[in-house]
Amino acid sequence: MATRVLVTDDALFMRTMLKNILLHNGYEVVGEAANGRESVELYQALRPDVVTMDITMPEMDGITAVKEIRKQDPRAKIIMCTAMGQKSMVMEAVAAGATDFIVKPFKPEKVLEAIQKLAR
Amino acid sequence: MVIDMSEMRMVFLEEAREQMELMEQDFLALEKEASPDLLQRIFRAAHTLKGSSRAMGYLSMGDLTHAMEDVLDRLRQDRITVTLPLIDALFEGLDALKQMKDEIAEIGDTALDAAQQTEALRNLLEENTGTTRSVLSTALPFCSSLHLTEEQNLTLEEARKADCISYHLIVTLEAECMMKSVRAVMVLQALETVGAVIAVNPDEECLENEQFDDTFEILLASQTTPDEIAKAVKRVSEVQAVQVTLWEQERESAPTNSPPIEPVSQEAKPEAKASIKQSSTIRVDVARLDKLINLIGELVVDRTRLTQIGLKFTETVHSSALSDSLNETAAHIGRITDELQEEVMKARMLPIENVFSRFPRMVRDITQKLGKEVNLVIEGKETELDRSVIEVISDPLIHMLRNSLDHGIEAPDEREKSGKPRAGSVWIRARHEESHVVIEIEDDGRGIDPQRIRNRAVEMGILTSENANRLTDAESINLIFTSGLTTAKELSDVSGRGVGMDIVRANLEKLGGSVSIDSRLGRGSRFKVKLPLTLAIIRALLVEVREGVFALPLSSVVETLKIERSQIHNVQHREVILHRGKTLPILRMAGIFPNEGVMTPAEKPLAKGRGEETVQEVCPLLDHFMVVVGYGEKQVGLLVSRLIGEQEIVIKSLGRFVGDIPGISGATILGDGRVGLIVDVNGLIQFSIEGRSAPTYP
Repeated sequence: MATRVLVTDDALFMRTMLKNILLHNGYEVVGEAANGRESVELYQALRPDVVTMDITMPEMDGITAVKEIRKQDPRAKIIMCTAMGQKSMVMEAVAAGATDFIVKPFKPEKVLEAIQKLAR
Repeated sequence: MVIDMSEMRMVFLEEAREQMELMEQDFLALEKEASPDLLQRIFRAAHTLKGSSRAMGYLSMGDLTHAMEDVLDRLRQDRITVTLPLIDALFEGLDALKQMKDEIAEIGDTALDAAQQTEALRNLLEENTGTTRSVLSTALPFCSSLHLTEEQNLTLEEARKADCISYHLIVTLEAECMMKSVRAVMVLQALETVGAVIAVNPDEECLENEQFDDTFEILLASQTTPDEIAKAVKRVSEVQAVQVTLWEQERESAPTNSPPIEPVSQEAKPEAKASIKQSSTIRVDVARLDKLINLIGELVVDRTRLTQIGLKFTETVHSSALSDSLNETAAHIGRITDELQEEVMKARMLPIENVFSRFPRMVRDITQKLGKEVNLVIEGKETELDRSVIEVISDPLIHMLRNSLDHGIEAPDEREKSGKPRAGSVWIRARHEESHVVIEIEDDGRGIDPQRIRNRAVEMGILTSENANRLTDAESINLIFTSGLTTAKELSDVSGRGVGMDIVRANLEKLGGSVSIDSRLGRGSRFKVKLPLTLAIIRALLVEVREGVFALPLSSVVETLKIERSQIHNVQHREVILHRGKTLPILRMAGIFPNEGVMTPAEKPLAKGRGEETVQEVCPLLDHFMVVVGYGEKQVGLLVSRLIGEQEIVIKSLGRFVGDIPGISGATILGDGRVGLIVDVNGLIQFSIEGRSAPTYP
């Protein structure tokens, strides 16, 4: 069964980009969330194998969302999608329980590498 | 990796446009007040744009947004403050972004180099904080020897007592790894699950500050095997290599039995496949909506035909169950068609915000240039109207707004002298009135002086002083819609010199709209524009001229009446009629559009119809009906054979093979399948009476 991924980013563009990469490589994108709150809700409903998580988002930022999701499921696998210059936030996210991170603009290989690692 | 780039580009452009609009509004708000929420929002917009433009490979765009983001980030952290140059730099950056976006939309890439704007923003950072552009201290060279402190030695001793083995790890990150420090921390974190980190080289502080090359070493006390340790490290992404060896001073014992390692990747997957509603809106190509409206137009035609057939059928067979059910079905289809039409029209509606959103920025730029202070108040920006209207009203509105700012609002000192607040106000309001949308542009400026207009009109030879003095104040003010009249003393590069309002009016009337003005000297002026909600469908009076059917837009029809040959007089080779105490020129439609079948109306030149006697001979008074059409003062009576009635018609263009025909603005398909030509009343008046072609926007 294909690994089920929940994509979280407030930019439709980024979601589409990630989705394209994932779909082309045999992953299943089970949901798209436009902010942290949606992501937490969708996680509960969908129980995806992997979540990709943007950091700066309206409503609820990615770090808070990581904390919330980890509360629901301590074994949740979350990959932070971050931009350069957000190091301290990535640190915070990792401390909060994010499993991995990729830095935008990301190469498809990096995305796949991160997800493959977690999917195993 | 095959990704459809053109599709991605569409998504990118659409979103970029949204972000840029948001930024423009927010920059304006920022100038007034920098609230944390606002800053957060702008920062996010810049950040999003940076991410997507880089991903698309538009690097100069990415650099520019990055610089903007940095400035906004500093603002957010209160490290710099909002200044006018800062806002200006942001706006200039935004303008460059828009230009890039347009280029990308057009040719798929942008060659625009925004280095200047980027640099301006960067400089801002430096001026403001001095040392903000952080120069990373040079990475320390990797030194493969760990020097343990006394304390660390003690910890190692303790660990050894607890049956732990000391391992020496050398971890190498991938060369292109970004945020190496975070990776390093993650490696340490991963190791904590299999053992205890005793020492790191370079030390943790250096790691966190990214003061290392790609390699660092760790001393780990663990009870597990080297393989398990390597695995744990490898679970972290972007680790190129890890080398696990026994710590030099650790030679005596081999690894003992390994304790169970906490399972890191087990699936937790309860059955939950609820279909989550993604979003309640979708994006639709405008062309598709246009196609839909066209199809519905044809459906409307068929509906009318169906009703007619139904009636004829009933006449032939008299009443029968069959004809009843035919009529019933026809009526039902009619209702549904109406609803369908309405719904699709609604789908094409956009809030007028699309036009208004440009104004705050424009007002800011213009007032700054003019040295005036103006508060712009926008009301009713959510008022919806058809996108066909949105597309065309922008120019006339901008023109009027400029006029208000340039000629209406006085300079601050002048305002103070006349007891007004230094800052003038301009209101833009939009609202629905029946099937129209009304847009008002009001200012509290100096107003229009009717006497000055009168003098000016006489000076310019537009009116005799006798006629001028007979005009009421309201009529005088309306003279500003007369072509060529200007009261501005000198040309200004903001609103030009007077070649405006007549064209504004002509263009609005072409759209089936109207404009009126209300002005009090010293108090201000109010322009009121009335427009139809849509340009795709209009209400029209259908008239028959010999065999042909013409549609006269109802907005231009003043009245209809029946006349006799004896009422028509000849004045200077022109036919006129005395109507309501005024001399009204008459145009014989049959003469203007000599008619050999409806489909070829304009083969004869239009000018032939200009009241020559020959026309009268050719056309004795077969046409007894007169339709008075026109706008404001310019009215004419059109002679037609028969009045058919009022109807909603769907406007279709004549197509490129027919081209522009003076006096005709389009065509429509009638209920019986015939083609009716839509009369361009304004053009007709201009062309026939004044003998010049219809105006065009400069």
